[in-house]
Amino acid sequence: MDLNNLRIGLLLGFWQLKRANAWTTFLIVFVMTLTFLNLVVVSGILIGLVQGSSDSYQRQYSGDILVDKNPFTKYISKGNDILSAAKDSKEIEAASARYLEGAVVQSDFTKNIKANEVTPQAAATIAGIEPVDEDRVTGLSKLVVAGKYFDRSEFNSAVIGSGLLAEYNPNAILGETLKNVVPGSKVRISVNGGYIDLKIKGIVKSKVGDVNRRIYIDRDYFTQLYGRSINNPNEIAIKISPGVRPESVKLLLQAAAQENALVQTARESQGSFLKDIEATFSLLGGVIGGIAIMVSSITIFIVIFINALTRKKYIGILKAIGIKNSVIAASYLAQALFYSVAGISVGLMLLYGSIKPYFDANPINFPFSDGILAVTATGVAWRVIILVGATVAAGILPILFIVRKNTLNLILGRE
Amino acid sequence: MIEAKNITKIVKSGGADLKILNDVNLTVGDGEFTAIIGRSGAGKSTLLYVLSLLDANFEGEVFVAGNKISQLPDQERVEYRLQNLGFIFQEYALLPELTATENVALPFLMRGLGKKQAFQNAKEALAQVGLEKKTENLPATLSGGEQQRVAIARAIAGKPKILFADEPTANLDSVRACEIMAIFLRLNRGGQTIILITHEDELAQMTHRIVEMNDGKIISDKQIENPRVNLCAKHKIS
Ligand SMILES: Nc1ncnc2c1ncn2[C@@H]1O[C@H](COP(=O)(O)OP(=O)(O)OP(=O)(O)O)[C@@H](O)[C@H]1O
Ligand SMILES: [Mg+2]
Repeated sequence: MDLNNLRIGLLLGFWQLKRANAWTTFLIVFVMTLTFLNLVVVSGILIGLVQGSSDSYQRQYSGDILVDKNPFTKYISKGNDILSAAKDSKEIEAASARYLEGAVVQSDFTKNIKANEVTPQAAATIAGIEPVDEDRVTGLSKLVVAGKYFDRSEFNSAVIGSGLLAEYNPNAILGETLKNVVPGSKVRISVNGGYIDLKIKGIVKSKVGDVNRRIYIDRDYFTQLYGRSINNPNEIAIKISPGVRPESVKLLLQAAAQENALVQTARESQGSFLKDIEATFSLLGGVIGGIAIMVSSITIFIVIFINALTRKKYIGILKAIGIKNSVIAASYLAQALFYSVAGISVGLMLLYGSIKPYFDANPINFPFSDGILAVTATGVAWRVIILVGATVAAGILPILFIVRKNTLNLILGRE
Repeated sequence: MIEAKNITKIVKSGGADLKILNDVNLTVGDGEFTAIIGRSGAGKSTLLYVLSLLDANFEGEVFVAGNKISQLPDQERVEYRLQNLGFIFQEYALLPELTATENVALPFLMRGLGKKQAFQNAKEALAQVGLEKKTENLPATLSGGEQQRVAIARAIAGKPKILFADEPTANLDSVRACEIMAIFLRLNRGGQTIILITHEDELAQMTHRIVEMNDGKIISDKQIENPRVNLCAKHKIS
């Protein structure tokens, strides 16, 4: 098809659009906008659910890199080597070693227990942390929803995860949660066959299970209670400096840890579970998006087809006065292109002007994550290309079908 | 010169074959103004569609200036019409979304002219049919006579070898009809070959030649010694 034909086709399409019924045009563009948003937002939310959970896991728990104990060992060996390597590296902003022990926790233990009552208790992980380091890596202090975070090294005080508290988990069954724990209450934890009472200083709330079901105490207090060496943490969360690639820091830490620990990026440490969900959700998003594309293609097809059917006579006249099929096809192509580009443009404005900012400011509250809207520039670009392609194909098909018909039959309305 | 040889067209109607053109032979010389008359259903329109390449399903041959143009493939017929033939339908046949100028400019654009030149030529063609004040009107805002004049401007704009008109005045009152006839007469004086179908004897009398059809056949073919061009003289458009 030569350039002149294309030019005339575009001009003809433009004239027709310019004088088309404004409401019809508005409706078609509106449908295209909805389709585009359906394509981007639905899969964006689905993936965002998982990504939101993966993001908070990294932000609130693992840091950019998580140094873990090796499988089948109790602790990291030579933790000090790793910590001093982290301290020396400019690529690492902060590191927080955590020391963990399992314990049974009780609340309300001072109350007189009647014969048919049991003391509320729950299984929890006691985490010994250096409060300032931990805060620098995960911002634990910002997760405090009641009471306060540690000021400095404080013995006998604890910050407790809200996952252990009945007031925050109305649906939890007895035996999983503690009752009546507020800042200032005491909880009793089992230690080495005996017990010790801790004063609750604050309550932290997180959607990351590992953060939410721990009881945090000071590291030095912890090592004293359990007789653990400072050289044997269970995990070290690392926050890297801005702009640094996690892979290079991983290598550096691996060199320091040697066989004494397992060094993993945040993503690696999440294991396959989240990745599997993410894959499933993006497949689901793809299916829903595919249906959206089909629906919009059919819509455009029907709109253009009916438009062309009612205009058969004029298509015939165009042929009668010497207008080539390719020009007529191009004029409809221009219209289909306009509908999709206009619809997508409005969609893009809504997406980046209001929908994305809205979700960023108000993440969807899911039990396991704060659902963000996961949209990437490339993802959006692909969807734009696919949608434009599909509508153009759907728009041009009925015309190719009609324009082939006999000129006279078109004009006289035969067939 | 256009020459139709042994044109026969058979259509199926209610299961039976119907010969709506029956071995028609017709030659129209350059510069001739020919009227085709006949009863409704005689086959006038059918013949005009064959001559103007709008119809391709017939037996026989059509020559223009010695070139056989029947049996060309669809897109070549479209191109041939663009370059050589003009056609005026009874029902104006304008594109409703295009202004008068745009309607007339379209064939110019197709011939490769730039938009500016095409629009200028279109406006000149519209001026020729007395519509210089209505160039920006959409068809719906024009009267029937004005719409038909736009259609004429579009048909003649490319200086076609032959101009076909199928009852172009059927929907118009006699004053408008005369305006249209005056345009045809002026074009013909300038050498334009015209083949016109009409019901009205008065209009036919203004041409050089009257071909009468009946039942798919030409039943008479008369030269007019003194075309009565003055019948419409008072409506002449300069
Ligand atoms: N495709 C077709 N199928 C069946 N019959 C047809 C077809 N085309 C034309 N006819 C018939 O052929 C005859 C001639 O039609 P045509 O339109 O040429 O008549 P006409 O002389 O132009 O009449 P009018 O003055 O009413 O316009 C009519 O009886 C018409 O019904
Ligand atoms: Mg007719």
